[in-house]
Amino acid sequence: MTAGTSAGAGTLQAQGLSLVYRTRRGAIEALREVDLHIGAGEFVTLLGPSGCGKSTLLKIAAGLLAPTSGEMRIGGEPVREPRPDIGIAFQKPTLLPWKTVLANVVMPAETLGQDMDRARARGRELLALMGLEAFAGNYPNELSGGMQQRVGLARMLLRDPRLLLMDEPFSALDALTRETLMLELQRVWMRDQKSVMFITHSIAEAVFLSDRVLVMSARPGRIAEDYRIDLPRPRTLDTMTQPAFVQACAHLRQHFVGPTP
Amino acid sequence: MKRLLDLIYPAITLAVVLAAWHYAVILLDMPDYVLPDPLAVWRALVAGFQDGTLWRHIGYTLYATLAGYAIGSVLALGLGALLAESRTFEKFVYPVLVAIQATPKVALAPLILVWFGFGIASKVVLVVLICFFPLFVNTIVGIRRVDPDLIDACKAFSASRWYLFRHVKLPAAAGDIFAGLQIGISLALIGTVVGELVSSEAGLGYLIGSSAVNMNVSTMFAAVALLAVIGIAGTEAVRLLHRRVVFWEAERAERTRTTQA
Repeated sequence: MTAGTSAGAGTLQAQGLSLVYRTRRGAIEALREVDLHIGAGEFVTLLGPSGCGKSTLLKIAAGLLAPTSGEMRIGGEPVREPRPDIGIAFQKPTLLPWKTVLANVVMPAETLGQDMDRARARGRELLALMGLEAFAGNYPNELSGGMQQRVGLARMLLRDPRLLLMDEPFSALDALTRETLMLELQRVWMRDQKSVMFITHSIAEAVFLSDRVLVMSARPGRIAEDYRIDLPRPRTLDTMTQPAFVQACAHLRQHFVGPTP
Repeated sequence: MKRLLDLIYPAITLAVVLAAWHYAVILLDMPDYVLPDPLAVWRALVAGFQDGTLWRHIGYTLYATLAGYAIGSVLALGLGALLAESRTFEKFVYPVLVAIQATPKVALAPLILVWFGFGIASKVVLVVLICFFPLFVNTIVGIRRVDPDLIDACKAFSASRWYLFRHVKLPAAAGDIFAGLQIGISLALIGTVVGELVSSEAGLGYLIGSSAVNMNVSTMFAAVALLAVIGIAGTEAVRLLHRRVVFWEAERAERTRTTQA
């Protein structure tokens, strides 16, 4: 690591993170005393049922929510507002329908007042990476759901962020598109060695993509297990049929079957 | 071309109604002061255009309608946007405006005439009042109902408050804003005519009122026909603009049209 980068650029660290939502019908404890660490270049997945607070955790990392207590640090600095060095993708493509595909991809540069010519050149590169260079001038609703999600991924990568926050980005897609995008994400991740905080409720997706899977328990959300996946990279669709893969899935599934404690 | 062909069907209906009207007047021997022959209405129109009186009335009505519509719409958009963005402003102003909205503005016509005189200013004021509220309410509703995920996505990429307003909320509300503009244009014409009927020096509403005194029913019909043409032209113009500007919601623009009709 060079002297210029702060201690562990792209790392994410949560310490004693709790969050209580106040609603009309009383307080809801979304997170309780969550500790987690994502190292530089590490792909970490938060796996859990819906309502376990994994999206809340991601929103805190994105600077969209402030924790009730505890601290979230990215690259060693406490998160107080959305940071310019992260990329984010959501379950929905969340594209602006009145902007072209390219204009959507360069939005993260526009909001920071960066050089737009350079941003557009970079945006075209990323669209090419996603196989969408021909659609730069189209509007989002002229694209299929899978293509829109790819545009969202290109937008996430625009600022060349050190840390990616991904909230169930493939869950609204059909199985075939999902597999293709999983492979693409792995390819991009292996090429650029970014840190990733990935959220899903799909066990197979978690095992396929991750270095580590953090299993979350529901309400209040806590980390129930920190499970390392040691499958060799790059993983292919064949990986999913190997005993080690199946075994890892079976192990993780234990958390979600049987009588609830 | 297809749209032009579609016009043939209502044109046939209109021709049948006019023919039935013409022969009913002849067969039933209707006196002119109850129901004039459509040909008499046509002659009144031609005569009015030839001696220039109709042009003056049309100009007066158009001016009052368009000036009032423009002022009312600008006020409604500005105040609506301000109210949607500022909770403080909302607390002070919204209840008052709701109270005003509940009163039929037409009932204020005599008062406005007393205050602003019998000239064109009183008609403009009446139109401003009458077309303000639909657009005002639609602007607020439109801005408030922007997809919160879209807002979060842009915020996570460091979008400023101004960026969110200009590039996210305002375009997202455009469909509702145009629906308000469409209601506004038909209400604006009603406002002008009511003002002119109550008291005026010119205008198509004034022409209807003064022709009634003289039992000149042909001229009354001529003025009504002209108002219909102005009304149709106005709503069509706004609808066209709607489809052009809010191109990403083309289907929705069509739907507001049918609910208006």
